[in-house]
Amino acid sequence: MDTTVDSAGPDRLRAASAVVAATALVTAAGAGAVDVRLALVPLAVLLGWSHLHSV
Amino acid sequence: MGALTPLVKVARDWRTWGAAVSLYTLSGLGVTLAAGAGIGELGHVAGLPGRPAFVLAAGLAIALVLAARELGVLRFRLPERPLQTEKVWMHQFGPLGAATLWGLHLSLGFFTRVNYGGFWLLTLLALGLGSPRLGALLMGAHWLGKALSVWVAPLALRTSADGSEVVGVWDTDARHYRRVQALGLLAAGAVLAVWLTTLVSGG
Repeated sequence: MDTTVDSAGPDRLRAASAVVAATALVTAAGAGAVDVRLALVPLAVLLGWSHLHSV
Repeated sequence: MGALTPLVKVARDWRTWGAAVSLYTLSGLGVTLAAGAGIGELGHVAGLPGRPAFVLAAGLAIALVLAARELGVLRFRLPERPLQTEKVWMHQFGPLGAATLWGLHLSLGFFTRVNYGGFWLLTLLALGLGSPRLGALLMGAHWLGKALSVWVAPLALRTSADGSEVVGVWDTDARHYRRVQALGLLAAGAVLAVWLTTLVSGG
């Protein structure tokens, strides 16, 4: 089984991860200002994002 | 993901990949919206929304404990079935059929591995808050986050024909993703703390 990893791969995924995390936190803050319950929704996306081992 | 991603990098078939990942995302979204609404309705029937302060305090405590687990401060196993989905479906049903079945199977979370605590926090919140609408939103959003990782996976894959390469990327960077999970749990805990404070202060 080929398990060779492109050395840029982790960097790309980390960058994507940072974008997802930042977007989720900013959106949560904005949604929370409207309705605190809605702040949980973008955070749920963030919690799902780092769940890849189950996929 | 390990099976869907090579459709792009090996077969160079963006159309099939796009259709497969779309079906994967949408089939899972349908399941999680229904499951979240069902869990919320179950909590409503059980009368849990009548004790919001208790639910929020318990949710806050659970978020902190799960974050500590992701950071390695605490060590315990999460409830899970140590199973993965059926890769053979790709051969039996083709990429589109398999992707749909994978979305249906993996989205629930109760039938496969649960390596991170966020899934259980959201499930317990959906139950405890007793709102079918909020339950659907939380479980559906969690699934969209899971599916998002499949959409971006081709960014990291180079040439492997069986998808093991991108799984390897994620494995070698597991500590980073545990920190991201902890960040999400701590942020959710902060939201619950604000909500609880507002409730207690009568706001």
